[in-house]
Amino acid sequence: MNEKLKDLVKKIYDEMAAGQVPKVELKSRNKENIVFDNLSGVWKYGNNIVSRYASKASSAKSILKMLYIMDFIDEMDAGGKTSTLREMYYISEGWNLGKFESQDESDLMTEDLEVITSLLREEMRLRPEESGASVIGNITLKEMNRKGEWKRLNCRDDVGDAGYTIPYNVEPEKIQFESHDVDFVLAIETGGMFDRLVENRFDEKMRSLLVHVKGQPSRSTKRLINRLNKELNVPIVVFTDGDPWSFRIFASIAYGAIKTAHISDILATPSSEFVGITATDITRYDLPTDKLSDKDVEALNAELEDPRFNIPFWKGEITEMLRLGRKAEQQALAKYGLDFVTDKYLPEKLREIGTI
Amino acid sequence: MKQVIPERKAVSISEFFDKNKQMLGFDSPQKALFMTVKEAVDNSLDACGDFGIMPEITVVVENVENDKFRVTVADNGPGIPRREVADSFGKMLYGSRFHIVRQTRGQQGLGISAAIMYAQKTTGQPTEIWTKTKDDLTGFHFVMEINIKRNEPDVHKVEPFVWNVETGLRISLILKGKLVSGKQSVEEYIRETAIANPHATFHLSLPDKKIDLIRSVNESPVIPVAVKPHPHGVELGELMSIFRENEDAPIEKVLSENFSRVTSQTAKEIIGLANLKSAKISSMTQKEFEILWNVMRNYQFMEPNKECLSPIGEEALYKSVSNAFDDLHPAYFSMPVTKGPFVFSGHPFTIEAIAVYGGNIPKEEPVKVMRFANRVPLLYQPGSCAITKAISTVAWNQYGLSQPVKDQLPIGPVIIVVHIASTKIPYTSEAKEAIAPVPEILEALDIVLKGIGRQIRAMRRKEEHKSHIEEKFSLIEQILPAIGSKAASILKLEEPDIRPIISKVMGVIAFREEEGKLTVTNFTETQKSFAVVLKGEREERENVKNLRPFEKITLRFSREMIDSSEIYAGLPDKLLLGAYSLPEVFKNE
Repeated sequence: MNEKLKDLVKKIYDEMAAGQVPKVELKSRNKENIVFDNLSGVWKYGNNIVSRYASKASSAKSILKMLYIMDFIDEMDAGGKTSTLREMYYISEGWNLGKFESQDESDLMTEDLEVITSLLREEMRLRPEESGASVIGNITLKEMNRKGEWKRLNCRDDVGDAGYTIPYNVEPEKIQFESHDVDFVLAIETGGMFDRLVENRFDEKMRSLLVHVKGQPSRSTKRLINRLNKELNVPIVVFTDGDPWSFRIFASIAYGAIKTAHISDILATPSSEFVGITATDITRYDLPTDKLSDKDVEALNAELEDPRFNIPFWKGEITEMLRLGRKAEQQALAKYGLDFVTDKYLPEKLREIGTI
Repeated sequence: MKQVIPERKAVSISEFFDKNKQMLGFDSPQKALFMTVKEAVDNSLDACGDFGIMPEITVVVENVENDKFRVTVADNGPGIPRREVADSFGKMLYGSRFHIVRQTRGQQGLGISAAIMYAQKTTGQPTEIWTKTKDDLTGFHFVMEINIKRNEPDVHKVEPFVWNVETGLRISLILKGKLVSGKQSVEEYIRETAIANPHATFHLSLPDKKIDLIRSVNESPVIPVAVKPHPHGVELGELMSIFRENEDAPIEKVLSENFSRVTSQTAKEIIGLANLKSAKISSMTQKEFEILWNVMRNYQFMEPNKECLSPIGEEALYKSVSNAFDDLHPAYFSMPVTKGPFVFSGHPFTIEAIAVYGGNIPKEEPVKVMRFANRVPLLYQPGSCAITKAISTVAWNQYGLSQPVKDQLPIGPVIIVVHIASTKIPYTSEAKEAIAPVPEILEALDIVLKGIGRQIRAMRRKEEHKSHIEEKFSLIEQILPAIGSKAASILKLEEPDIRPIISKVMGVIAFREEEGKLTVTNFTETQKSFAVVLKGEREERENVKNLRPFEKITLRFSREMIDSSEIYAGLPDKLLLGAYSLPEVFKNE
């Protein structure tokens, strides 16, 4: 059994053997315990520790469930298997008192185990079922396939128009970068815009790697962006819709998310730049807009309180959007024709932020 | 002229029935079917009761064609002697037992004759009766109608037949009817009748189902004795006629011999108070009768004799109700609350009630009320009935039930069963569907219902605590052992001893209700002695001596007591789970 997991089981067992009420301790995973780490430039959990003592039925049950998860991981280890989080949720049907109430519960508990053991869930043979991002651009990488062989491919020449789909595990034992010829990575929120840039051959013209993050990016997408930035030393530029939810996509890529603050170091890319759509773009380019909904306004106000947005650029943009009361989509740029985004908007904005 | 009078008279009986169908309860096909079953079953129960027979009654409802139904009711009662059958069923008998003061179900004759008449009017079919008494070697089979014109039985045929029962009566009628299910149905009537008559067994066969309701009590109820009327129950006119029948006797003797609870001593006092010491009945004036009547009304007599009443009884009611509602898996049954005898207008009455709580009884609906008068279920006219009114006027919020609309039934998972037994039930109408809201009855009901309410409050509080208690026990009995064994199996080590952890986690004296028993376990580290007091409609106490750590004992209290009481123990609250600390005031009792 994995030593870190074994240590945790041993600690629970020893406490019981000593006649103590067993407990698990982990960093508090709420918004109040998120601190900015100056050294790495990302947001991480602070020092607040919560202890879950088995003197309460609910905490005791969660300890029992953790033991079941660890036993299950051990079993998978022995059989060389992995499981999706959803599969584990269904497998827990047979765990009696350790059965999960919902998949949210089992996902959360898997993250708790990550926080406690500082193992990644992939190392615990658990994986999400959501697919990773698509990538198009002149980069050559190799991927370990099911047969255990390294498969080499170029993400521009060896793929179709949908690009290369990255697997859930993008750690070096699975994916390695061989060579590349790009100046920057452009992470794009929507599929429509990704397809527009692909059709307009923006990757070739601007020597860029296009990554379709598919809305709120998955862990593997963020991890891939993090590795591209760290290992290839290419800047990351984020291109989203102009609304409060898209701002959060950027924050998650750049600074990390509250849920995954224990692994911000490997997921977040604090040097990422936001190219647009900004609130000021709406006026500057006279973009077609929609009215902010009540939920949008609420989200913007919450962002003003969010430590991740506590810098002048974001304060300004959020305040401006609230003032306008409007939001705009990436594809609103089509107002000026299909080539406007690639010929004018992006070159102009990228020049301003200094990427090109 | 002379020829016309009997003719007119004959028509008037038929008209009387037609015009009074509603009064007698035969106003719709649905109700007619219901009333037919009810009248026959009530007669069977009364007949068995008179002879101390444990009733076994079979009711069969068959759909003959379209809206025609055959109703057959058979009993193991005494049967009716051959000579009396025709008159018993074929004449509308008015008030044959009017002067006897005793609790009975029916009006003796009117109801079943009405059913026979209704059947013959709607389908043209005669009624069949089979009877066997203990004096006859064979049974007799009657086919008969009622001659409406003459108000006389019209027997088509009588023949002996061999019936392999000791005694019994069976009646079969074909009538136009409508069979419904649910509220106010034949099934509901039989089910409720079984609740009020736990000494009876019923077999009900409907076109789509068969139901057997087996008696839950094996002793027949005490046969109520007939008594003289109580002085508070007599009207002025009745008083005067009783006196005139005894004109030559001394007043003192007339009073003491014709009324219950009047001794010659009391009679003297009354005569004194009414200034009649030297009076003679023959010379008494209207004014003097009025004074006497008023004196009698205001005089504090002993309460009427209770022996003329036949309440269901606490034990029988509890057994009956717990048997009848078992399939709802209720969480608790209250203790029966019995009060009385009370008196209204000289008529004694007692009230019995019991509540069933929780389980599958709907939580968000008004409480279900089951009303009974002299062991007969009342299914119609709930809104105008004293029982419903009394329940609605209790302020249920103080007993933990919500009552969104004042003076309406409260909401909650509760069934309340109320039985009023009296020598005279003041019905709101001849159809005997609802009890009139007589002030004395409403007051007595209020007292009984408050006793029920206090128990419901205890049950609600217990239910709230129950999940907390069960959670604690599931922690120590299931979850902690599972953690220990899982951790041990992963590490391939021996299972740890979790008893020290249990006493750390619990650290209390834990009371738990398990299958109708109350257990107490000492989860502290020291031996404990304490008193346990259950307080509900009654109060019971048990002393626990030297309960050792981890020792568990079962206390003696009955399920009825446990269900309906708050549990107190002579220990501080912080040491208790599932019980409250005994307040100072009960400690030295």
